[in-house]
Amino acid sequence: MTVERWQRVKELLHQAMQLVPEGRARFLDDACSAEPGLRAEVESLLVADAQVPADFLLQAPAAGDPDGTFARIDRDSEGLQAGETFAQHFRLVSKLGEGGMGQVWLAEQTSPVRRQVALKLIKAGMYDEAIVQRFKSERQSLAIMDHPAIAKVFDAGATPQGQPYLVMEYVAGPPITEYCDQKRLDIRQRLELFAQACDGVQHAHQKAIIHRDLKPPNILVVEVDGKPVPRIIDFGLAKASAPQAAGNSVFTQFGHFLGTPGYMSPEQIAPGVHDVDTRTDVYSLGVVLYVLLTGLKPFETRQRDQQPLDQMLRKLREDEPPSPSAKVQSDRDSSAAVAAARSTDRRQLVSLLRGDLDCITSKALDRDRTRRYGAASELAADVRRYLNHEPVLARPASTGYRMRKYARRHRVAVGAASGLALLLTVFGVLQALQLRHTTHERDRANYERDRALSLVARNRAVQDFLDLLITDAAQSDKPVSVSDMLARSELLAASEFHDDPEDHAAVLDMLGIHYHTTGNDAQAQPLLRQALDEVANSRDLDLKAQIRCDHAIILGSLGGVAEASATLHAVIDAPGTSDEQAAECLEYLSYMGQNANDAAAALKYGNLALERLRRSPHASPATEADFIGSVGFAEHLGGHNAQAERDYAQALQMFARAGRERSADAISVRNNWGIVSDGAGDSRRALEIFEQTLQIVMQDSGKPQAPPYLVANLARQLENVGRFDEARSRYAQCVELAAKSGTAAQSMYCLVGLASVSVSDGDAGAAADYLGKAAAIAAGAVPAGSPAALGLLLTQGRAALEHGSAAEARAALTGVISGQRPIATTVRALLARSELNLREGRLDDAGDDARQALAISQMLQGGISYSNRTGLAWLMIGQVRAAQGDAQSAHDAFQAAVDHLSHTVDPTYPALLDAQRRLGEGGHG
Amino acid sequence: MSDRSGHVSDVSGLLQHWVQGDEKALHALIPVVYKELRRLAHHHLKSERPDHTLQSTALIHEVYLRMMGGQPVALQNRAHFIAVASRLMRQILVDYARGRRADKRDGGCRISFEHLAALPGNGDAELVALDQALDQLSRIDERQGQIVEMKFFGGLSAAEISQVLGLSRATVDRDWATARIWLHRQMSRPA
Repeated sequence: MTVERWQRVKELLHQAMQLVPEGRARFLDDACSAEPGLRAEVESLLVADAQVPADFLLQAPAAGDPDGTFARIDRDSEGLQAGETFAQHFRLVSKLGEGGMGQVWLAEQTSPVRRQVALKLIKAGMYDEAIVQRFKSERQSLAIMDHPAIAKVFDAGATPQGQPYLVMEYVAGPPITEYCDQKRLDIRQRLELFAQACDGVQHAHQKAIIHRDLKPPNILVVEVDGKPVPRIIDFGLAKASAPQAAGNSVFTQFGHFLGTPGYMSPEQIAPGVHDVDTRTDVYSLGVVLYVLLTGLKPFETRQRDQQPLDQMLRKLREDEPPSPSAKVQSDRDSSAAVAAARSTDRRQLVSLLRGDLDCITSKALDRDRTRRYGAASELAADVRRYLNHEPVLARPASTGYRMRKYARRHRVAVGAASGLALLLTVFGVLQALQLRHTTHERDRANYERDRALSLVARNRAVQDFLDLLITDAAQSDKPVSVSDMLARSELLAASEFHDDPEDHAAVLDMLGIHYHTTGNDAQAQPLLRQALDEVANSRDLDLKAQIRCDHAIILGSLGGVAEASATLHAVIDAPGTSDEQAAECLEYLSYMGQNANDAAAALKYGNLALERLRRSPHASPATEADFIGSVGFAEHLGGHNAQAERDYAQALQMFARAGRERSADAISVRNNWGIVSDGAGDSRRALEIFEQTLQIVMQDSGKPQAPPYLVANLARQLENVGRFDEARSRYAQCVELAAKSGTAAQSMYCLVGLASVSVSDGDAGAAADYLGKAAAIAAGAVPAGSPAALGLLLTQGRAALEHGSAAEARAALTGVISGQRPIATTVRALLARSELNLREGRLDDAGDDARQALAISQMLQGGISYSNRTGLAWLMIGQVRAAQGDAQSAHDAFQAAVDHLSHTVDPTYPALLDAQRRLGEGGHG
Repeated sequence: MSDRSGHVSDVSGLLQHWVQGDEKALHALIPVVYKELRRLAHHHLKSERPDHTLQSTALIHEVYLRMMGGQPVALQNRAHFIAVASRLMRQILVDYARGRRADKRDGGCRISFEHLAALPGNGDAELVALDQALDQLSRIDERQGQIVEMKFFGGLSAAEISQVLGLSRATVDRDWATARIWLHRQMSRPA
């Protein structure tokens, strides 16, 4: 029968059935006059109707519930009355509440001790035995909790009829929020109380018990000796986080108690995620804190119409809550009352919350639990730091903290200027790995389902790995160093992922890249080699491509440039490589160009990378900005500084538009911009940029100390513009910072800086001292011929010149000048040697050196109008000309020197004053 | 210590999403529900007590209550859930019925699943026949097949079905009445 025909048959059948049997024939005569077949069909069904048994399909396909299992348990607790005795030892006093989980009674325990208790009767449903079992096993863990902020659990069990129950300490106190409002506790008092509640939660966590439903009605306040003390109830409903407890417990598999809307964490509502952990409680504590501070839950509004649940859940999963200060500020209607309940006014409340408290709450409430406080104790510690006016650890979560790229770009960018290597922690690496997966997960939403699932699984695997790593590290008593962690993670990775080569490869890749970014390519290479083997048969093309490219760049660093380049090209051209991944690999070719000082290649591949990236539908503006910044650096290398500046400006604008202006990548672009300005000779501009950059970094409240490389770069510019005192103190700060958290190259760079300032001050003794220390560090740690080594040599030469050791000075300076490529240091060395020649009366040589210095400096300007080094070169040329008796050209030269210097250095810069004086004297130096 | 706020499980969240038109949520939902239904059914059916039988609708309600954490959820959601579950329940019951028939042919009868009461005669065979007839009905009228599924396997009322499917009550009644006749005739025919 066709679909259409059945529709007609059905309609006619239905209509006929409405009629008395006698009237049906006539009805069908009329309705089916044109279609006899139709009539036959309907009639056959009418006949069939008579044969259908009365109960056909009217009872469900199984019979009742003979032993009444279904209803039994619920009936047990339904009919309870005050005054009744429950489970022999409890006289029920009054019902305290009833909810989804069951009933709570205030009861009097009669034996073995007489006391008031709260009796929680769990609605059990059907799996009585399983639940009873669970309760019995949990009794043990509940009993071991002993903390003033936790209501005691006296007993857990079940009646012979199978009704599970909990006997808990009866806490006669209001919820923490109500208590605080009633007593009009101010913010400090609230925070003190809150921190105590955190202590209680921490205690439970240490006993492997997660609450999973922390909210004000479960955090009550009682007064002990007139002082408020929080007491957390209902830990009995928590699931022990110990794996054996979760294993055979039916309840935890799908009794699925999940939390309370508004207080539950994003992971509690995420489909398919069933692993809540201690950080889930941290989130809920964050919400409680939020309510204590603002009177509202993060996503709550005062509007009368309640948000639909699904909308709330979506917000919880996708949106950042407003900061507490913003919440109070936007809550015009009742913020005055909220403030009054906190014994303050609205304006003061907003300013109290702004800053640290905003940061603390947002860290506790981060959607990504890896960025939350790792434990309730950390949250409590930060709250107490705030109370003690100490800097808090929380800081705005930097989304997309792309650690690897950050390091990589810095290596290229700062490598030229200060030999920076960035200290990475295993944490950061693994976080980045996780991010890689989540990014993939999101971007590839349209890929087939299996792939998405496997990525989710891998994400989980990495998460587990992280947890394991932390637990593993936490078990040893010794302080753990980064290299320990790395070594450990290699071992762990091997054992953890032995059955999932892709996960293992992803972790090996990260570890390898970490070694690479810390300059340890020899150690990185075998890891990447192994990762390559692991993914040999993988169908995750992106992962494969990434590992191949990462392996290539490490090979390149180890000297295998040709092989690296061939591999990169092969990956880029392979048909299965995604645009994004190809763009990343092109970016590597560009880096290789940058590192080889091959500006043309760097620029070509940088632009190709950008082009390919823009083709990808998943390209993020921040990545694009990052690539543009890299093109800028290539432009700089090619001597097109003005173009580089335009690129940097564009990149920074894009970062700003993407809300990422303070991200690590954006900071890196700013730093590079400063380096470009410095390289071009525009010291004042460079100074401005580094000052801004440092300021931005320091605004990040979680970074109490400045990165040594930025301080070093800033110090160099202070020196360049002539603020020697400031430069000296910044260099000194840098030496200190580098010793703590920096590299040997950074320490050396800043010691050289101190020496250089001492030379400018004419303090030869101090200079020699610093240089001695710098040289000691340089030996073995800094390759000869590197910019950092040349910087040391230059300063040694200048010191010798000041000291009058002409031969020594000449040797050192000539050493710098004969370095492979002309850089700013070369200009300085040429000028110093020119001065030496001038002093020795070798006027022609002096003139040659000065002119060469001018030529290089002008080249380095790359389209930028003024350069301090060009000014210095003109000053030198003027002096030589004056010595040669050419007053007119000397005058012109001094004029040019003043022009350049007055635009690039402070008015008090000695060389500028010198040039002005000589100019005033009419060229007779 | 009162605890009046409802607890929401991820299943309920998925259900909400599905009701709001997110098909992906349904896909995520089905395996979870299916697994639980199957587990529960299995648990009951393998029970050694011979009198321990199970009603499919009760089973679905049980799963529903467990997955929702026992909190009151809008009736609409409950109906949607059961609509999904009834399809799965059908699958599970028919699988069991087929399995048992196979066992019997092998000479074993390890599981007793006594009263497929309303189906006259051999319950398992009837269930399999119904399954086939329902397939045929669904081919000519998918909606009607769904209605039978929800009512018979899920125990939904006509009112609930009309709500889930967005049909008038009269349409549901008409489809149900005619489907019963059609199915019975189909099942009575020699195979």
